[in-house]
Amino acid sequence: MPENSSKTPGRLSSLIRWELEKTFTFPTLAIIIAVVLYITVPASFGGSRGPSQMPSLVEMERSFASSWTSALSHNVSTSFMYSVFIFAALASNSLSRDMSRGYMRVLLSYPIGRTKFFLSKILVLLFVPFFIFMCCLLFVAALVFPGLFLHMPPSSVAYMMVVMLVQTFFILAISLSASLYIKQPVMSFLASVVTLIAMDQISFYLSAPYKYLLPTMGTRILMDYHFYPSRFEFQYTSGDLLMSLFGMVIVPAVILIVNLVYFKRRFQT
Amino acid sequence: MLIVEAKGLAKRFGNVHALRGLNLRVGKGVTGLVGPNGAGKTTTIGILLGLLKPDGGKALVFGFDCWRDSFEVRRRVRVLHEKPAYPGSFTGRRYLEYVAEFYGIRNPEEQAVRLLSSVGFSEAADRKINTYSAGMVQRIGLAQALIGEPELVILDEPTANLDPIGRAEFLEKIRELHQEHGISFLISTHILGELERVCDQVAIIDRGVVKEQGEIEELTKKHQARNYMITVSNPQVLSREIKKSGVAKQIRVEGGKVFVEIDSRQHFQEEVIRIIREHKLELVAMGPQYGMLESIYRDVMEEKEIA
Repeated sequence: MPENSSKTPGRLSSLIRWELEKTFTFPTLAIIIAVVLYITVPASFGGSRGPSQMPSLVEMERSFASSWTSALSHNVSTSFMYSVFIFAALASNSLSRDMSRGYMRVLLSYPIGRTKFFLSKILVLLFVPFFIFMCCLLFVAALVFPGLFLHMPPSSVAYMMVVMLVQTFFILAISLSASLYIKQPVMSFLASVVTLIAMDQISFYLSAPYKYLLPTMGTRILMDYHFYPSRFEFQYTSGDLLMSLFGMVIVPAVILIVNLVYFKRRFQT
Repeated sequence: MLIVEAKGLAKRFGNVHALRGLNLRVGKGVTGLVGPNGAGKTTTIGILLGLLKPDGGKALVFGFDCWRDSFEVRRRVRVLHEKPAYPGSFTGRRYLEYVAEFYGIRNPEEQAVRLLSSVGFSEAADRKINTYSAGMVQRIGLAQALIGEPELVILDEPTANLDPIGRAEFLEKIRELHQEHGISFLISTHILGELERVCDQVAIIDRGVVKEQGEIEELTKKHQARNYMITVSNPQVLSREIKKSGVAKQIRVEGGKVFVEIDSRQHFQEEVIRIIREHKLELVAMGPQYGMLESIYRDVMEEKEIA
């Protein structure tokens, strides 16, 4: 063995840094900035009134808060739709592009465990919604500082973020599967978008509790559980909530494990 | 000592049989893996690196099973793939630092600087890879294949993107690395003339099987040249007389030179010298038409066709 190699080869931390550096570049960074602006600018400037009529700080706070809660509760379909496009694009950019351009063949020739490789991709992709969320908070905080979050407890902000991550987790499980099997970025992106939108549409036709297996309805019930407890008690049962958690967490986790096994069988450990 | 050993390797892609029971033995030194396009060279390399699972047979590198212990194999072996692709958003230096980290090398920054200067690439090191020419990408490829004093480096069509001067420099670098650092190389190519300058051993592969392998010196004795090129003062006379003597299988005159294909070298040289003396011709040059390795390759491939 080479004398100067003292560290463990193929460490997860190196792979995560590699993946972050590769992901957070054009066009991904441009997409993220666009999303942050899309979410925060209307909220910060009071939506339709435009920047010429600056709202008061209180209005801005309310506006921002309602933008997030409405995006994830009243209007979960919209939130889901743009998440589908963003994360399907990121997943296909991360996996299919690596395969089709030959980056993966080169990378897998290094002493890198396949599980670590796969895990680094998932972790970095899951970091993106977290990053978007934090950017939104900072962006608005910079405009309306101080006292931004006073009316909303930090636990609620954290809860919104977790729901966003859960939704992203589902989207990524489907998108990564498409990327892994189709191996062509544009085709895998289209396949992911079509599959996810079809799932969303199907969820409206299913009866309870099965409709909560899929993202839009699943996300809505999770948001109502925290932000609108009275509505939750009136509309849903605990079985619906369990079904939502199963569909949004367990099912994508199983899908990702199956993908990992397939990936390891193809490329060895 | 064998560093690579493959026994009965088989690999299929759909209906295409890429490897059909390939047996390969590679010792220390510089070894050429030669064969036409589609012979199975890249598939063999993929299996040796644990990137492809063989459908049958077994491959060992430094005694490690290439599929089961592929991580150990990849720790010891470096590779420069055919048409390599590296993320364009990285600079050459940053890329090498990451590769050094992947190999667990203590000072990745130092290692990157050392390698960049060894492949003569220090000036463009801080430019993004997507601004590099094909030759520059190939040099970065060679640099990443030399990280951390490897025991074996596999090069798949390494000179494909290089100009003639770049090719010569590249091959010189390989020779130097082998002689000074004892690094073994397995070079897959179909450009035989280049390989002859650096290789000690060769394996000729065709349609998924190894047709011939061994030290070039031994193979030269076994597969004598069959194609000769003779330059004389009157090529027409020489051509006519050789035809009459019956020692040539085929003969043609082209550009003032006589090209002869023979079945056996026995009597051929004596016969040519007799004709030259008898007809008072002036002999300018006489020798095999192709290089040593190309002669071996042609002989092996012709044997295959006859079979």
